[in-house]
Amino acid sequence: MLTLNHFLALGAILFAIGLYGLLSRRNLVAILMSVEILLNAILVNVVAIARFNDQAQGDVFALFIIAIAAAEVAVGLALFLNVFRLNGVATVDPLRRMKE
Amino acid sequence: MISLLIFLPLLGAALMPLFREPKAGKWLALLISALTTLLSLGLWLGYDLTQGGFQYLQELPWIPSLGINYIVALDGLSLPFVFLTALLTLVSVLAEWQRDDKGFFGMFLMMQGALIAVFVALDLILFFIAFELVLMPMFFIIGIWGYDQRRYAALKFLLYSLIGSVFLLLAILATAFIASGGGMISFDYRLLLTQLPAIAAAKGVLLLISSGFLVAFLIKLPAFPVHTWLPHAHTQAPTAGSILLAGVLLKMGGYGIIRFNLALFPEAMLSLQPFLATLAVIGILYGGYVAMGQTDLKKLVAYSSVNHMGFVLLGIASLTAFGVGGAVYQMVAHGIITGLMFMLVGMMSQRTHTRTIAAMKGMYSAMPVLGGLMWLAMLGGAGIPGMAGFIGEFQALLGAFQNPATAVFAVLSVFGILINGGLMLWTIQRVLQGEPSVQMQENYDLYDLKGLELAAAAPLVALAVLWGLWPPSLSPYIDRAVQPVLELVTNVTKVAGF
Amino acid sequence: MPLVLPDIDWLTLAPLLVLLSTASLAALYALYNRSSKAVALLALLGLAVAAIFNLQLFVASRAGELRSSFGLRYLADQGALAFNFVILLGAALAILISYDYLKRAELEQPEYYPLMLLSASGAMVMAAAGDLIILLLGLEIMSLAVYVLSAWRQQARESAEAGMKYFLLGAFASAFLIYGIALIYGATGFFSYPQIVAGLLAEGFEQIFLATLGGIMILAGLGFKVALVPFHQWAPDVYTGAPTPVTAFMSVVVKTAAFAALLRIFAFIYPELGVLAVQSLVVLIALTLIVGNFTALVQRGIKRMLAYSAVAHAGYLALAVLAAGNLGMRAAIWYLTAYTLMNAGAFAVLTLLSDRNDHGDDLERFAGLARSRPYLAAAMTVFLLSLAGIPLLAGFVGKILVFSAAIEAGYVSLTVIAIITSVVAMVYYLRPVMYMYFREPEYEPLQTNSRSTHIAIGIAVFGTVLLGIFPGWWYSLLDLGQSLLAGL
Repeated sequence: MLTLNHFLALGAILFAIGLYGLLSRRNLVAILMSVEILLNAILVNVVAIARFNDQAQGDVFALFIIAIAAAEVAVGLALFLNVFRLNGVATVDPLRRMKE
Repeated sequence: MISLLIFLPLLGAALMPLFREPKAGKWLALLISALTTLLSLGLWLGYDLTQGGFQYLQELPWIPSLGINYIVALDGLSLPFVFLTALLTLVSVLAEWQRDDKGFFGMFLMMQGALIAVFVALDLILFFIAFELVLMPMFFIIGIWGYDQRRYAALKFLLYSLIGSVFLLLAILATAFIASGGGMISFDYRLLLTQLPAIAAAKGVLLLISSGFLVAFLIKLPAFPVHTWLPHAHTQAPTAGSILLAGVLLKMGGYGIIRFNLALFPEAMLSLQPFLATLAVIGILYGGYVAMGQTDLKKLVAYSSVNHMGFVLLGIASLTAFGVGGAVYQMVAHGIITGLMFMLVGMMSQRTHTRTIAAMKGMYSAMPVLGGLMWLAMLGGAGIPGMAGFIGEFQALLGAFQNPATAVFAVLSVFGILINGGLMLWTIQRVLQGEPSVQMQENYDLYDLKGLELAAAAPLVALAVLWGLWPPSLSPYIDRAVQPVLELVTNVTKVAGF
Repeated sequence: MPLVLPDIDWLTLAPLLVLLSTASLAALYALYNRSSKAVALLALLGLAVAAIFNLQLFVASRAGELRSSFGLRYLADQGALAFNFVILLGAALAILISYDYLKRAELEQPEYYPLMLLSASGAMVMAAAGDLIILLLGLEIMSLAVYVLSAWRQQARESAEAGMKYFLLGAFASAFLIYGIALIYGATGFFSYPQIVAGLLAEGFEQIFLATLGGIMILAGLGFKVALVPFHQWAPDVYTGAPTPVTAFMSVVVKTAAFAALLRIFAFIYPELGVLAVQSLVVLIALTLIVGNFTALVQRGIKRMLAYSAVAHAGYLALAVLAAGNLGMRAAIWYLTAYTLMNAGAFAVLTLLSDRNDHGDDLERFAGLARSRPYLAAAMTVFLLSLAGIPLLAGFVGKILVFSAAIEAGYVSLTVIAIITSVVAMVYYLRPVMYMYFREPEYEPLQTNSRSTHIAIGIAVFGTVLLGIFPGWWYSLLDLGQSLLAGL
């Protein structure tokens, strides 16, 4: 029998995977994907909680998260293209330069 | 009336940028500092000695919801310092008359307003604001118009003072919170005085809080380990800056210790007494000793200030009415005499283009009036009877002898008097006596004091002699203010069973 | 489940709607007319109208009228309204600074101003939020616009990379915030503050661990926006890389909004969470004060120094958050007002001193400025001294207010750290002042002038001095009295 805790655990694992990807990947597209995984991990949590509490609020929140994720990717890709155009590479390495 | 003393100079400073003509600055500064001097003299004469206490009180709400208000008043302790501030600003303006710089005089007016506010503020936050506000003009005066190493000196001066201010602010906040006892918070000094039992009840932090006040004031005074900013600041500051620095700025320290440490934390003062007396004696001996080794005349005067301020601290540490009164007297006398000394040194080095003692020889024969006044100032600095410095030093020492706990320190500091006297006489011999070197005579125009310079020196000389020969013109005011504070201390002593 | 129409008090939404519609209108107008002057004026007009509505609400709320929309989810209490004023002021100053700057730097595209308005409206939503979802929405509206703005200098790598970096770390922080919200939702089953508190206080509540973890994650998410150490690493790079007016906007408006949100949830929700949530903020503050101030000390570039100073100021402000009762809230609003004026002012001066690529903000460029550009030097001195907390300027009063609030709340040792580090701060704020006044010029100064920037600097100087000398009036207006959520 699946309980709420199973879903929360799945969410936590997914969040950890996203976190790992965000911190270890050098390719900007991969990093953007990791951000998506992070948000989807939370999505799993929220939907599961809403299901087990039998509430509509959680589902609404889930929809908000999807919308926010979409908006973030739209802006993120635009910024990414700009960096790509200037640097010719799609990695985070040039970003490090600013640290001096 | 008192507010006029604060805001007239501040207004003058604010108006300064509006003038196109650079010369207008000094005229405005002269006008305002002359007005404030007359006004403060009027307030002094109008002070009702029989009644005592705080007079000319003025109260205005400022940030009422935080218990911060604008409260100013004068008592016998603040009167001499207010007058000293006004007078020395006037003298400084006259001494720097050859400058045509609006900014310079604007800074002086700003400092004058802030200094007067320090001495009349009866709200602790107002006091703190004024205390900090004094730093800014001095920082700029040293940093912009000073000598070669001015940047270093200005920063050092500011940092030392700011570190002190930090502890002061913490201590002020803590005192007010403890005294409020969870009720409405207030920074009113008179209200805090009525809450002394509540403050004294906070045994654990009492010593810590009073040390907060003390650190700020000892740095200003300056006492021995934290005096190192003073020689730099003095040597790098322009003449007028040195006059105000030695004449008034240092006095904020002694004033603060008496006003706040003695009155609000008598118990803590009692337990800190040996520590303070030790610092005082070290300052007296060390200041005199180091001054001996100086080759720069201005630095010599600066270190002799450390010596003189040691007597102030010793007088306060004696915790007797005689000693504390002597300390205040000594501060006023030092303000006059050292102010005069810095002014004369400035005028002398302006003519000789050097401050090295070895290069200045026979100044008396070259410039009799300037040299003669220097004689007088040096003797005053040595504390000979008949000059104001004698009364203060003598009284402070006597106070220290009165209290068995500080008698030993008094004995030790007698050596300090000898060192200091010897130093001054030796300096007279090196700088004033003999004939000036040929090179000096050929290269520089060693003209004597001119009218304006004489006018600047005259009031200081007159006061140094007046307060030396006729102490009743000053000491009753001081005693009237010091007595009630020391009653607080003796109350504590009685309770503690000393 | 029956469908319930939300209760909407349109007046509470009016300032927000004005900003949003002005932004849309301006964006549409920009399609047909590329004159950025008209768009900038329209944006300023929108801000002014929003301020008028806000004033009306403020007067009403001082008269005791408690207004809100969506069942206490969008609040128009005095706290939110006062924050709105600060946000509108910050946005107006940023637009004034931007106008000539964008022309000079050849970045003039009218879409800039609608983005700024959008971001400001998001900030207002954050200040008014009484519900975690609304808080999140406000944060995203605000942030997405700022990500784009910080990459506005498309042709410059620094700017493009600043935008990218800000975006990546911002998305990361948002994820934490959302996760935190989800956890609190999981623990209590609610999103709106009153219901969460009720849920936390309900008998038999067992999920305190989950809720506390959620609280810490929300703190991390918002801590990123205000640049609390160790979530501050983006700040120096993004602040230096972004165009200076955008940096000014970021440092005042974004910070104000994030603190508004933080203050509210700290006042209501955090006391009911485990001690760990509050304790973690204590640690963050101590770190922020020490790291922020000491790192600022070693910077040579003024812009980078101001970035670290912004980090340090976040520490002082967070101190007020800890004491988030009435006193802390008032202190924080006051501090943010002062901070907006002096920080925006300092960046405004910086735009006039650096060249069109934002280079030339080294200390050496400041040497002798008092002689070559006396008024600019005087204004910069006022801002720097105020940031340093010198009396009779606004920053000093802010510090006093924050410190007394923190002492009253019992955080004495943290206050001691704050006061001691503020001495360190004096050094790095005074260093440019010393360069300006105590040294001879080393470079030919740029004679850049701009009327709109001068207006912004004038407003900032006037405000900094006025608030410093007469702090009482604004502080007494902030007497928040009855908060909508207080009676819970």
